[in-house]
Amino acid sequence: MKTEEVRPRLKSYSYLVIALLTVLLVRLAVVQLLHNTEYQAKAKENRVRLVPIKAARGEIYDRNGNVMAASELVYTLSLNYPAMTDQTEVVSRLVSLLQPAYPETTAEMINEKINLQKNRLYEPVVLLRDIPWELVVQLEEHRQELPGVEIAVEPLRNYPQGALAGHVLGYMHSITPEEIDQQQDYKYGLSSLIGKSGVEKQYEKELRGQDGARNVEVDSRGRPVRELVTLEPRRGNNLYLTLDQDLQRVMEQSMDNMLAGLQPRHPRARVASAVLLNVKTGQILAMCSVPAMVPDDWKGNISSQRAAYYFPQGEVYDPMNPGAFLNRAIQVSYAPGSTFKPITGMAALETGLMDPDKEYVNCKGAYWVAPYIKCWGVHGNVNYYSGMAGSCNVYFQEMGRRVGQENIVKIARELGLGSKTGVDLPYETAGLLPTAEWKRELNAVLTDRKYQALKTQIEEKYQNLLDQAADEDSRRKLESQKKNEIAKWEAQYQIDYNFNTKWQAYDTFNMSIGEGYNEYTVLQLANFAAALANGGRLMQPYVVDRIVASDGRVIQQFSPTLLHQVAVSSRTLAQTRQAMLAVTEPGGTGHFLFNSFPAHIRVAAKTGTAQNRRAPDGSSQNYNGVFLAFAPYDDPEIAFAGVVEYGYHGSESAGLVARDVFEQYFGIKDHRQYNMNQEQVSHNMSNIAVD
Amino acid sequence: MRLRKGPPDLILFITALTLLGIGLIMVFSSSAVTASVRYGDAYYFFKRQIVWSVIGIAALLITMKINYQKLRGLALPAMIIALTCLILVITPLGISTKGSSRWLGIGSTRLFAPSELAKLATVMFLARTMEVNLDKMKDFMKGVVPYLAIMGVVCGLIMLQPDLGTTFVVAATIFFMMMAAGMRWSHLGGIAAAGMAAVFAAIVVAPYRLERLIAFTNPWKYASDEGFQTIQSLYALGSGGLFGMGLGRSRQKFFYLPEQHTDFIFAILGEELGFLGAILVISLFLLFAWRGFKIAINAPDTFGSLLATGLTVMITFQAAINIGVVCGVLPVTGITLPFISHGGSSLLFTMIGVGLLLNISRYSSNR
Repeated sequence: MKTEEVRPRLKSYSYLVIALLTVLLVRLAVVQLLHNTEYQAKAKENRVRLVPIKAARGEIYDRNGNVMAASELVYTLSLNYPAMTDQTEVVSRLVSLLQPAYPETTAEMINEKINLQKNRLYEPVVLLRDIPWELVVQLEEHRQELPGVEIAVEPLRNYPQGALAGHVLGYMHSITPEEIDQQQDYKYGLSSLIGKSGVEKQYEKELRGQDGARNVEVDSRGRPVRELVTLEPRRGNNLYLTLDQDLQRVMEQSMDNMLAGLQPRHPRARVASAVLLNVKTGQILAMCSVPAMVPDDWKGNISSQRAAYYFPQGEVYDPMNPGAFLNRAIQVSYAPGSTFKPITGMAALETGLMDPDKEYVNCKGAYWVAPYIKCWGVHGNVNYYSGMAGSCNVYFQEMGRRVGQENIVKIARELGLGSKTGVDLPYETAGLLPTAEWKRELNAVLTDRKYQALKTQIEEKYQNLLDQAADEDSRRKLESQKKNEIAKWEAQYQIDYNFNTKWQAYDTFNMSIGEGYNEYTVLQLANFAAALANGGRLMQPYVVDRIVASDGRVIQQFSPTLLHQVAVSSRTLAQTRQAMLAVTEPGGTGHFLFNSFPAHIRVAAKTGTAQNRRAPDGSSQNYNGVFLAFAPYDDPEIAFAGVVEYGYHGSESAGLVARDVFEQYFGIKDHRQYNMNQEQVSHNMSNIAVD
Repeated sequence: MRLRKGPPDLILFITALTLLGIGLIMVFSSSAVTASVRYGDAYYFFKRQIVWSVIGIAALLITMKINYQKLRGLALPAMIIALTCLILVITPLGISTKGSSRWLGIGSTRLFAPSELAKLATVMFLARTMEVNLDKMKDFMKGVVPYLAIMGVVCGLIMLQPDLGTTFVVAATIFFMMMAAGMRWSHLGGIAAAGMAAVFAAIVVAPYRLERLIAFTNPWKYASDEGFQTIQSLYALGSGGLFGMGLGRSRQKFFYLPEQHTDFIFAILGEELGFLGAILVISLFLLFAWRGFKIAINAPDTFGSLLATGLTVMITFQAAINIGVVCGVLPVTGITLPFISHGGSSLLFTMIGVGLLLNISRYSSNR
């Protein structure tokens, strides 16, 4: 039998295993019995401590090398928990020292911070960043009474230009536990700061660098005995933006001045945004959103007053206190109003259903097809050029009717409307390019919901009546009544459903003049103007030009990206540009803005006055001012788009900003001297939330 | 051949249950801090461990009942399933944590670790095929090479996760079974040399393994990362002394020792229960090995004998490697201590292994 061969071998080999375990016993005896005192002492003293050395964050410059976000060295106050002998005692002494400078600091607050970090107490618990030198001196004097309290020098982000381009730069704030969990690479601790929006968030990986560490063995009082390893921190990479600091400043100042000028007439005009693009490359030269983001607000613990400035606490949106958190150039979409008319015009030109010169439409103040949408004037006979110059609603409704909704959607899509541009900033929204399918899906649900509720109401009503019915006869009567009512309900439901879910003629009319369901971001509008200006090359807008290592080596140079060549003939584009040039010529809605410009810098533009759907009571105060422009007409370099909520006329709101920025860009007028006013205005702006 | 059924090996059974009981207590003691911080429930890991212990005991009782002779037919299918799972786990289907992909599951819910199934399936498969090829084991080409190939496939797949610790355990178990089945010492010597080369290659592929190896020889030099666990583990053990700091009184479990309820649970055990507690656990594993080999020697046929050998070696080797890591004589590899460490599928497959051993013991020829 074969088993006999295995048995004797097993016996001898089994001693191998037993020997192995015995060796371990010996080793354990050495560790546990021989080294007992030594290890126990070391364990008690708490030995190895990792002291992080924070890496300096990469700096952010504008296109000309002006510093927009820097890294300064500050004193940080933190607790080294294992070295704290008596938490209550140390905390109370510390609070009494901090009270004069930081009255909001309490023992509860500090204990809460310790508690928050209770599973990572070997890391320092950061209490305050950027403490004043006087406090540092004071704390050092009381060092003996404050075991575990530590002051370290750390680099901290600061923004030397204040609120300038705040929304583009973004801000830094303490990392949340969720964000730590999302990080696979363990590069962040609870005390880390992380980019939360804008470029700071988008390029976090580039900017953050790599923290170093000093590994020190310390004695029971937390004093370093010897250094084990030192890992040098690596500075973050620097970013050079495509923004031009001067243009950015002029845009923001102009915006504030313009809003201040509007507010006597339009008190709710407090929200606006604008974008200036290089049409050839897609580089964003300036981008602003009002109310402004002040990145420094987020440095430490944000005060409740400032928090309310960013996030209004009211349940209903209050136009007087709109909240500053969103970058409204990319995170909010608006009805384009009349600035959409070039799209409708191009659709008509492309389908060959319109002759721009010879064909006239007669405007008598309202369109002749139901629902007879009004024009804001009586234009008489207009062609493409005069229709665009006067922004005639009748002309463009007629064009919309001729080409149909699908052709308009096609052109809008070609020019990037309703699609994310892919800009290198977080939280971009796509806006909405309405299609027949979209309307069907949306309204099918809405109609169903409405009629289901009605049906339930009917059934409940009759259930109650039936319960109260006196006799069989009246009950029968009620039953037949109910049947009738349900049948009526059914019929009404069918009619409504068919009507609501179908794309109606008036939907097309609304769309062709930029009302209805259209909603696009300001960046999309600017990019559409840019593509129109540059001959149909839809570029991807971008805000970071290059990433440069701290030693000056260029790590990545971003180059212009062509999203696609717009499928619109160059003749159509040229005719549409010409129509937009008519807008700034005598008789055009934007003439007064640019009439002082030199002859070689002609501006093509389009004004818009779009319904603000938030408060649709129809009064002129509920219109957003929208403005598109590009220049020079003969060889376009830059394109502008801006929206001013409750600004009414595009030319009198966003148009003023476009003029100032263009004047600055082409050297017609230097707006930078008006810095003094700006201080005052921005001060007023930031107080809105408090009023 | 009709075999008479007897009672199972009671000593082995009690040994396993004792280890399981010690494990439950230690899982609670070592994980309470982490559990309350991470899940807001100090009993989080303890409760899970209880559930898995019950499942494990049920599995043990079931595997004990079925005649192990029937497992012959199961050996090949089990092996195929195990290899499939091992391949699946290194595809994106596997769940990755801390740079290795060791779990299969739905979403982020871990179901089981395929390498645990692979250990058991490999032992069964080897026992079955060696029984048939027993007279060829002395022949290098016909006896040794096929098993080296099997080892290469299984260990290779586990290395891809990567899981160095389990690879060691599987390789050692396969070698031991080959020796038991009659492989020549001279062949072993040659293979050992080749093995050294393979280890060297593994290090070249992933240099972090070298750091781990170096770290264990001088943990203080690499105190910040690679040596950190070893140092903290030694501090824990050393603090324990002869009698320990007392159950639940570990200091190291608070901030310093990572994996304190899984891979490094033995360090907390040594800290809280001292050298005496450590001796107790090692003695229990010795007892386990003794009974396991006894069952192997008294098994009625070669299949049972080799199966028992494989199971015993697998469990004791894993224990030895884990304890070796904890007391700083082996590099940190990341494997659990059988019966004691927290971990569902590890415990389940260990209990199935014990069930099989008890099963074989019921047909003991020496009664």
